[in-house]
Amino acid sequence: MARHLRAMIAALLLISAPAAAAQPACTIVKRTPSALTVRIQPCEPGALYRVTYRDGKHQFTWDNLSPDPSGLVVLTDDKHLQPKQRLQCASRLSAGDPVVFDDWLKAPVVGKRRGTFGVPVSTFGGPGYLVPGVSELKRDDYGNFWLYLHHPPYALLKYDHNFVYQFALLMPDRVLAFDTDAEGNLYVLHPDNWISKHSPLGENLAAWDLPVGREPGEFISASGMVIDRAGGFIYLSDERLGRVQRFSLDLELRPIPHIAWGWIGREDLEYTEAGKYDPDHMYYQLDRPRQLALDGEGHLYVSCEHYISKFDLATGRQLPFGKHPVLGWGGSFTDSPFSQSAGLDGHWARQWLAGVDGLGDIYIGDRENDFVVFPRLQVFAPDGTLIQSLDIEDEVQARDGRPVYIRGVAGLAADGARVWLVDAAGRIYANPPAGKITSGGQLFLGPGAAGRQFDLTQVKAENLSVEMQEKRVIHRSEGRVLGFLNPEQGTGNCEREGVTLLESGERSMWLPSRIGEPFRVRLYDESGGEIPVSDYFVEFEERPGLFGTQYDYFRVTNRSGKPWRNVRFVAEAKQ
Amino acid sequence: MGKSRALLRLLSLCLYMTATVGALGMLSRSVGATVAGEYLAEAARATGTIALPGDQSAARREVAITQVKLDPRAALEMVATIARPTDAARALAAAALGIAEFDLPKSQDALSTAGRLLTRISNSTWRETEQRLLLAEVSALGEKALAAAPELAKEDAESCILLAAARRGDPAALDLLDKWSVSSEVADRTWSMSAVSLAATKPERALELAGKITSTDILAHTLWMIAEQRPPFEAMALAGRVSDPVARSAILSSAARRSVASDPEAALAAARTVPVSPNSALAEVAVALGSREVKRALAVVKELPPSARSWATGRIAAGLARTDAEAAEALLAETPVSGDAYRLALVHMAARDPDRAARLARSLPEGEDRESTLAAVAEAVAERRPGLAVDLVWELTSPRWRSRGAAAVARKIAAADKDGALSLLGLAETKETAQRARADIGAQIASRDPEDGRKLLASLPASSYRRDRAFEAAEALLQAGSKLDEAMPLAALADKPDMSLRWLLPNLVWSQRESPLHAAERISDPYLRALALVDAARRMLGVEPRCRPDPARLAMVRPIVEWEGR
Repeated sequence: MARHLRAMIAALLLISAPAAAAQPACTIVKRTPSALTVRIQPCEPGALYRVTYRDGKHQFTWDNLSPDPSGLVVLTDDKHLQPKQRLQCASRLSAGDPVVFDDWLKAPVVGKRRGTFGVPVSTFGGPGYLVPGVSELKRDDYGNFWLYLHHPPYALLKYDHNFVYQFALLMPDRVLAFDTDAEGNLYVLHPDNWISKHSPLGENLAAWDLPVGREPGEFISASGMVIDRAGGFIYLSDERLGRVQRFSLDLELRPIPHIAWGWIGREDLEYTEAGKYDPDHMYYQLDRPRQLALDGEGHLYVSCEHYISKFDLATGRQLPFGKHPVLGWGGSFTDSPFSQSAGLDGHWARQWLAGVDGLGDIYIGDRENDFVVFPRLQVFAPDGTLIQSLDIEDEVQARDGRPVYIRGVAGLAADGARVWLVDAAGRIYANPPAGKITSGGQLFLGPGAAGRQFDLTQVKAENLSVEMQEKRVIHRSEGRVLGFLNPEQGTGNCEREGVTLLESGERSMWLPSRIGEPFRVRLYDESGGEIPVSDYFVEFEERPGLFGTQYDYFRVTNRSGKPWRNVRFVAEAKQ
Repeated sequence: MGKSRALLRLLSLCLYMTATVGALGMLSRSVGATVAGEYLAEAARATGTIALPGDQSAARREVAITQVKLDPRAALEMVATIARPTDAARALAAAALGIAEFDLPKSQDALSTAGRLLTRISNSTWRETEQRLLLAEVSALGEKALAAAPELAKEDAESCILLAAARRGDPAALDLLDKWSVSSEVADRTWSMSAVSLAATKPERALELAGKITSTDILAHTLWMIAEQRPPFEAMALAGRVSDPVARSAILSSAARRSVASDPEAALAAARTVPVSPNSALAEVAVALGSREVKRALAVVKELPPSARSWATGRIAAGLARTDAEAAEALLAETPVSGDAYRLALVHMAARDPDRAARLARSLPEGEDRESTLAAVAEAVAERRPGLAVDLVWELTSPRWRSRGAAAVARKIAAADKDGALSLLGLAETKETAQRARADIGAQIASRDPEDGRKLLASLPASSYRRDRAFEAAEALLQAGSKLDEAMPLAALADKPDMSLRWLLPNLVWSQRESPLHAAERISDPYLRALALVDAARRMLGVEPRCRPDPARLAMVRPIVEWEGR
């Protein structure tokens, strides 16, 4: 009785209270994975609104919203970078390098705070990722895929045969090589000479320290690994000692019994003069061997500094590629890899041995090459004949008509005549079993992939809140300006510390402002003092262009005549 | 009184056995050294007739380096016969290390000579690289090691020595660091490696050293490595000193998992405090709990979001299947898990309840997962229930999995039913898969009937796998005590007699029936003979390098499921 009385009094008080401005609320009118149309009511004409989504796990804010007269407004997944634009993304350093958006939008998994506005884009799971600069893909015997992102936080991500994400293994450092055994266990070669083994479910099974030294079974700098799944052997290369040794899956040394000293490479472990291959003097000599590959036909491929060597595991002998002793410098081409001819098809400067398919075709990606605009993926026949050379400008289309942007990769997965590789837009392309890269395959993952990106159709209306803004919010972002100098910075992070930045007269790389609307930039020196505007020149990306973005990028050129160090920028939306 | 007497007798017996074992150990070491010395002497003689100078030099280097373990002075004498400068330098360095203990001036002379020899290398990059390698090898000599690299800049040489010493966990590295002026990075790395090597036994000292590190990254890595070697509660406290949230979370997650056995409540509470990917930490604790308290583990799993729940359930089910097949089946029916998890659970279940595992595998919908699971279950039940295994193989529809399943089952049943195994290989549509399996079966059979095994292996085309299996079968025979002549027909399928003998010979060191020295006489090529005898000596002395397990580093790899963020 008393409770009813209290309720009635409260209702009366509410009715008799002076009319307060009604709190705006929103209802969902239409949902798509990347856009949400909502109606804000009541809605004052000309007013700006802020909509916030909070579900306990995610929190996103859209602000500066101007609904139409009926209160309708569209909340998009990320106004800075639409899905269709992301697919055209080229690079921060060159048009061939994909962008890594890890600067402001990463989740706590990478130890950084996500921006307070916009919904993060993601591809391989990491909010904010488009695709890392270097990626490597392997397929186990059960059809699962392991994807390595060569970018902090270093991780190996596992997907099932339908590219459904399973889990990730976060590594303490970068990964030098990885492969799986016949049971699907993963072996990872880490820097500083150690190997870890993980079960197909990600359980840590074992780790071994490789002994240091030059005797059989010892290492100075283990650099590459491949597993002979059918034979049950692990091959490990040492870039300092120029040799490849064989081990059991329990890391017991298993010398190659057709070679007197038991390993592939020269017995004397002579250090090779950088980059040379002279067939008269260097037969069997490995110059800084790193990546290893097996073709399933009993051949081991060893990627040296500028060439690939091939060995017959049945005899331990080095095999030629057709008439050439090696594929690459000193064999299939003789011009210096540091000359302009490195840009010719069939040539390279430094390479990735991306893989060898079941037909024996060899896939080689450009690792470093100053003489190509876009890093290429080149395919060679077993006899060393060039089959094709592709980069992102070559027209390859998936079976659904979407363009595929082929670029040099560090590793691709192969099974028989089929290959899978990461394209420049951050998707995985399953090439038809054709013996060469061709159109008609299937694209997986990538921007908008289910589960990899926040799906706006999952939004619950009760988790949306609306408020009217008193004034326009001025978005602001800040970070560090990086120069072109270090190639490693191609996948670097604008917030990385301790890097010598712009040299006199140098331009910065294109920097994502993450503001998504017209903005201005100010620069500050190491002591925090603002750098005079006359000392630099700013270029803005003002319309969709090279990067497929709009109002997102800028770059600066130092015109002060003095070198800059640790220059910070502050980007702020214009009033 | 009677009890006391019995105890006394037991004690006496123990003492007697300990003394006997100890004496036997000493005796066996002494005999081993004598025998190894004979092998090396014969190897040294063999090097005298090697025609190619490079091979001769390499073989003498190996003899000398191994000889150091027995008689460093003799090794030093051997060095004088080594022609190639790099070989001589390496052997000299090893000898210098060996004699330093009792003849320091001679050791220094040897090092200086080694250093001078390396200056003959014309290519400067190679020369410096060789000098650095040499310094690292003699770093145990500390300051005295500098004599080995006369051309390197002082700081460069000191850095090489410091880092190599620290990597070995040599406490002298810290004394040298006090004396020498090296870059902050080298100092940090020295402190780091020294701290990590002390973490298990002297944690306070380890932390004191870590406190000297100036680089944030190296410090975080060091604290992480120390934490993984400390009890969970200490690790949790250390995590608070790590600023990088990814590393901090990995430490906390690992500590939580490790504390499950002693204090599940604390483990769960700790997992909930992990800043990065807390659901993965909880899932890992649940999995660890699953081996002790399944119900409680499943209660934790129910709290998790779908992806973490599925992952943890899969791992718990795979573990549970070993002990309680029925409960594992119920769990798998309740929560969807990945194809990998399902397959592994059934493989574990097959050992306990083959029929249940087979029934569940058969109940899977058609597709890749069903095929791989059927094949895996067939392999798992093959030894106990060969008939069931063969039935399962027949049910495989894809050529790839049928071939793989048939090959796997054939390998398992070959010991009991060779003909059945070989006829099962008829189901393998992939020729190479079948041939590889025949090679494996041939090697298996050879352990019981060398000639039968050899015939099977000989029926296969020459290939790397035929050679590998033939050679392994020959090795296995020798290790089981067979005579060389019994193994050689198998080895003949692997390589020419000289090369086969070169690698088989070390397997004779513990043979009661044949001496490696006699066997070595059958190797006509002196280079191969020398190398074989050196390997035999190394095996006898137990100085072959081995990979060392490293659980602390393993714990630094962290599985996570919620890669998608918050």
